[in-house]
Amino acid sequence: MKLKSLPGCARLDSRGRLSLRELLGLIVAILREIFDESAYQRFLDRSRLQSSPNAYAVFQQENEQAKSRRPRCC
Amino acid sequence: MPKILRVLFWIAVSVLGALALATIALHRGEQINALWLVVAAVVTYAVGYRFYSSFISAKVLALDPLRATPAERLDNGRDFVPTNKWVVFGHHFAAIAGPGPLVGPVLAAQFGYLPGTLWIIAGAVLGGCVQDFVVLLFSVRRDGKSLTEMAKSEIGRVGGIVAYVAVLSIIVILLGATALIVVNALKSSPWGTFTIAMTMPIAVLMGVYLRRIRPGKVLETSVLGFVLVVAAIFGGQWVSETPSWAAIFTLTAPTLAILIIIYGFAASSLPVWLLLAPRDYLSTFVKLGTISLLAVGIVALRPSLHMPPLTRFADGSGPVFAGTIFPFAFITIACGAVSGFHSLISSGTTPKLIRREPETRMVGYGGMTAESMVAIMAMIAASVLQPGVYFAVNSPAGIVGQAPEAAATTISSWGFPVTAAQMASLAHAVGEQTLYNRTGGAPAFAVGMAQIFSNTLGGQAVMALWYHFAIMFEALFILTIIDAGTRVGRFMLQDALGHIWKPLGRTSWYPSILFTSAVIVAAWGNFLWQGIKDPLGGINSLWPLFGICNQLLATVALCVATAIIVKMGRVRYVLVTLVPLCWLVAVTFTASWHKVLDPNPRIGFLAHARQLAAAGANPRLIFNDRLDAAVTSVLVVMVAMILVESGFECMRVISGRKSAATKEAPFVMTRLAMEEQA
Repeated sequence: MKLKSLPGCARLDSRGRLSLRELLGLIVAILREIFDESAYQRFLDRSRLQSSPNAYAVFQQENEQAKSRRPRCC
Repeated sequence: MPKILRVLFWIAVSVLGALALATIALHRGEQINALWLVVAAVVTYAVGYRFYSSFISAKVLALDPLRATPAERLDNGRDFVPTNKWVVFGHHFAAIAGPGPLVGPVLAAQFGYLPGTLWIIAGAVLGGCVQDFVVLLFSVRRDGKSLTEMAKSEIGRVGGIVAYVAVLSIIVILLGATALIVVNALKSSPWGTFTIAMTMPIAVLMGVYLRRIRPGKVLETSVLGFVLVVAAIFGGQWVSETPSWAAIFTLTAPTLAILIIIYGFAASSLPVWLLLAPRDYLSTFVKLGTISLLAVGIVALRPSLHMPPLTRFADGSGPVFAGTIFPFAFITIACGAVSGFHSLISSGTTPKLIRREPETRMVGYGGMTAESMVAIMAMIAASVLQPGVYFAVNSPAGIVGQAPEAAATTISSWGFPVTAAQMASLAHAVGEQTLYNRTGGAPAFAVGMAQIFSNTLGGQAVMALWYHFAIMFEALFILTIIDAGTRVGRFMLQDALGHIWKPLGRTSWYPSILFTSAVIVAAWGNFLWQGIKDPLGGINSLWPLFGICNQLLATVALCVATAIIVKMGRVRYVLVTLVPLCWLVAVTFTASWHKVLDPNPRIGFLAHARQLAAAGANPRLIFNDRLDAAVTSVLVVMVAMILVESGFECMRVISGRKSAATKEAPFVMTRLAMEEQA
């Protein structure tokens, strides 16, 4: 069966269906993106740092401008 | 699935939708089940998504799966990141879902459930979803440019300036109006006030935990914050039942307003990590959970709607806010059907995450259908209340009187029976001293939500807990918007002032931070103060003003989109954005005319100012009305300017005097398609 990949979180089978495990993985991936955990992981990968209070402080400093300029919707 | 089966399936779905819409539109004199609203909405969104968005994708926008998106071309692991479409969908929905689609439908329920429901469904499918979709795609094709930048490059300088002023105005008025909702929800409510007050130290604790103890573990921290907030809800019950503590947390509207103004100023000036980011995470966590829970509650309980389809207030004499269905139902619903604010999200973070152009359809069009579904749930929450209760909660003292008996008599005389004993019993059940005159929509929504929740889980014994959970949910939502919005407004002001004197534009220079924060807080604080001093309850003026601003911003977004479609050489499909644009122009300009010039003092700002002047009222109240009239007029004139400018631009292209060229980024072939095939 040929699988069509959805990078980063889940895979669809040839009939476009997700298994329950993959669905849970997708939900976790969505939550990690919404809550910036993925962004922090990308930052660690990019800067080749281990997670630490200092690394997180640098990450937050880097993202502070973008985050605080992001409009919140009504 | 074979083609014939697909055709039969969609015919069956369409027939079901038509049946549901006919049921909610034609039933008179008897209650209907809320599921009819859910079915009508879900089916219409499904048909709209399957066919209309597909038509727009193929014919109008010609989505190109081979064209590389900015997320792929400019991938930097920070702003530009190619992301799975479902993840982007979740991200986009979490960003666009605010308190507007909860509050607007609750207020519009004064006309009955029918006008609001029909507009939420039709407005979303033909207007709001289209706006979000096309703006997202146009931003994707322009390297993730913002609406303001697109307006400037595709229409002209006036477009850019109007978009900037409209965005700043909508932020200020939104903050004033939503802060008023919080004040009205928390005044004389020690339970609610304590719970919300506790969210501030909880947010600080989350910030410190996230930064020092478990760096980057946001989900874990949000769960911890949620548990603490639930503990604060239970603590609030103890506070409300302990006279000495209850006295401390029983605050008047002016006191609460001052505290919120101080909070807004502090949150705008403090580091993001300390208060803004943790509250934002907590708010998003609670928001997604509560919306899901409400959807499950409505489907599980299948409540009957007690509100009639149409009330006598269709004539414009409504106690919640004055004005006829056209244009005020449309202005009031705002975000649940069409929201100009979404165009900022669609041209903000989201376009920088899209992997492939065809995914803009699901994220842009699909995301708005989910938001619209939230508005339908809010309409249901308001309509499951007995109408008498709904009007007792939502009517200001200036209309129905202060005394419970007088208010109950007035409301009953409108044909919506309610007694003082019934209201006292309900207030006791939800743990409040009174539910009269709690204008703003949030308390009515909380009562409706508590009824649905308590009938699904826990029974009447836990109704007070559910009510305060709902109040906490809305207030948390709104306070997050207040701290984030004040900061966004402060940055916009600093950007503008930086052109006059460079140091003012430096976002890390504390004198500039304090000065610009004070200006933004003073601007929305003025509207908030005006709201709490308004004898008509504040919402009567502020919510329509907010709705007008929001819909004017949507007008700007659709104007930019229409100009781009014309410049793409697709004039024959221009009606896709031109029809909702014309509708919004009709709605916003008519509403603005009424709000400024209507001779009825409950509707027209100037007529109200004249009435106050004749009565020798406080000059400050008269000034506020004139200020509202001036703000509305200036915005309408500016949007008229952008309409004229884009109209001329389109005519130049159509007549051949100008070549049909847009400012898209050059085509680059995507590598993702080949990678997927491999």
